[in-house]
Amino acid sequence: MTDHLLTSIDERWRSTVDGGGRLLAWSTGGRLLVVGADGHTIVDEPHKTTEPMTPDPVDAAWIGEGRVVIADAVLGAVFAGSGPSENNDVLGASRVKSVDGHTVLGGDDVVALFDAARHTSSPRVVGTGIGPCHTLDHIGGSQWAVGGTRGLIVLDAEAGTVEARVDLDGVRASTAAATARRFVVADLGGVLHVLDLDHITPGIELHGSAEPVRHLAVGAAGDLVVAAAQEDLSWWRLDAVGHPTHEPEWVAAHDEPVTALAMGASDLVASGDAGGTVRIWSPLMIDYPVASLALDDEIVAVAWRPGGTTLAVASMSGSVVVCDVTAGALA
Amino acid sequence: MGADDLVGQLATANDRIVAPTWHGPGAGLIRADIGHRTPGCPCCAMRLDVIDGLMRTVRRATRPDRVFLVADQDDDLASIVYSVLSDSDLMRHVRLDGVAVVIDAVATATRIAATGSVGGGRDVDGLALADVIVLRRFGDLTHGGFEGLTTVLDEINVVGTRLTVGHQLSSTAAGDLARAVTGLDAWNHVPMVGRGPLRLVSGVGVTRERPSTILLRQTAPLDAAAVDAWLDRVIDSYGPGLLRLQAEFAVEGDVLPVRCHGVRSFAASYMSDHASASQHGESLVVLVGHGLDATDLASGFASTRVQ
Repeated sequence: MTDHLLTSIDERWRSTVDGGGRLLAWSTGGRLLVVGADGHTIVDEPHKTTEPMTPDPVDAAWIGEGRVVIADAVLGAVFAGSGPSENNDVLGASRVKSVDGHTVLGGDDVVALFDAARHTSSPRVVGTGIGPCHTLDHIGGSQWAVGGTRGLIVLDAEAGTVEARVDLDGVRASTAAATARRFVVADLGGVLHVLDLDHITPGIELHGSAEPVRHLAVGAAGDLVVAAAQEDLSWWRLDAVGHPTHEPEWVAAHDEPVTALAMGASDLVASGDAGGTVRIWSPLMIDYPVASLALDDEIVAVAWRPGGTTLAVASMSGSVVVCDVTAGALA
Repeated sequence: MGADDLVGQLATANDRIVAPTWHGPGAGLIRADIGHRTPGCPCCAMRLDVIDGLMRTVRRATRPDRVFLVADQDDDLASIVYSVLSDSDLMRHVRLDGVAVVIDAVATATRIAATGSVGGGRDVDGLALADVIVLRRFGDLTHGGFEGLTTVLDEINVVGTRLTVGHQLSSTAAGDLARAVTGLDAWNHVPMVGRGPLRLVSGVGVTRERPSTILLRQTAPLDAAAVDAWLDRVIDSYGPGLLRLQAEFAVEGDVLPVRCHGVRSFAASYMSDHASASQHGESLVVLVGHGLDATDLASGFASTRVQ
């Protein structure tokens, strides 16, 4: 049986990206892209570095296992890796993800859709009507959820059409449990909205945070949501409809504000703070972290390898750590 | 030449100035990204594009140690300052040192001559709270235009200074301007009201349309709890129209002064790290905003004395 009490962290490697860390992106197959604040990158291993690829990177994703796309505030969508490097102007490029050959990039009141044949040519551009994009999630099949300043849309990337729309003020964080058809967003005021992806409505509101929620994570089953606001983590356990089964549990998780959050396999949660501390949390015992890691500066990103237990962490000073997190087990 | 050009030229003139590039080609098509903490509430309008862009500028291995905002007259400078001061992530990284507004002196003087006003709403608000007003094309003004413009600006802005430039910024002017901007520390102490020795400007230009500036001062030591309560009342009563609040309090029992800055519904207090006027027992408050009641504010401030 699993007992997260005995969880351990083993560093694989530690390195530095020039200019300071900014983004981490894993491919489905486990390749790692580290993007620095001034566009330097590390790919897979510490010694595989590149010169700056973009001036102001905002988000990054792998396209398959051989190519990457970076959303850049100045250049738009920048494609690199195997094949020619290209960029496409997309106004206000801010979020990008790629799944099964479809690359979706959120911009200012638009979404740009690149399919496998269009990665080096003009994308299809769809108007969103929700203002600048702040969140982007793949929610299954060809469906994507896009959050912006004026609301949320569900987009069919195959058809290039907006299938549903919800007015919300200031969507700033989101997380999706696609197989559970559950989607959670946080607005500027600190309210969480739990949405059913098959029946898009404003959803169930979860109140309780006096501070704006900046980071969200949801378990694969959709029944556990973790929200970070300032130094605290709140744990919400939800029923099949999306209502909390209990009052949320609040934990003073860090001494400094939480600056990064991600949930991995086994529902282990990694949180990083402004002081450079990374903590691993278990839903089985949320009062204390089950493991910790120290970097030298504010944590800017934490990312679990998809389906795995390898964690990548980047700090503002440029430190990058890749480690294996092994959940404890009792016989 | 607008704010973008000015910042670019300042960065060229002084390699210690970093001009962040937040938007690429087509930047002119990008609209301000305005969100609200409470749906529809104008007092908590946030410029999300400014927050995100500034965050990316400062959240890196080598970060700037001073931050100045430079805006055009029609930018909503109060919302921008509110966003920068009140965003909890930015607060960790950004100490706001000054704000500058760039205006076309000829166009503004012409508008004053025709209408008696420099405009309304955010145009005036930005001028009222600015630490530096950059007047471009100043040399093209007629004598009458110069008089009209300076008279109106004197009424609207008593906390800042003015700098004049021509059609283009000469290297000499750019250097002067860069020195003036980098020397600012205006949001971290009480500004020099009236561009010189402090003078009482209670109720200057009091109209509902035009913001007024009020200076409050007392020499008796203050009670910390009473100061907090009074600041809460000021925010409650005047928050929606408050464009700038800066204060330095000599609180009984504290060796160093307690400082406060704010805009609209946001205000933050913090312990100063060095001595200043209040170390001599003097407390100062400067308020710039709409609908300020000088009598009410003065009596409330007086009540914060240690009884």
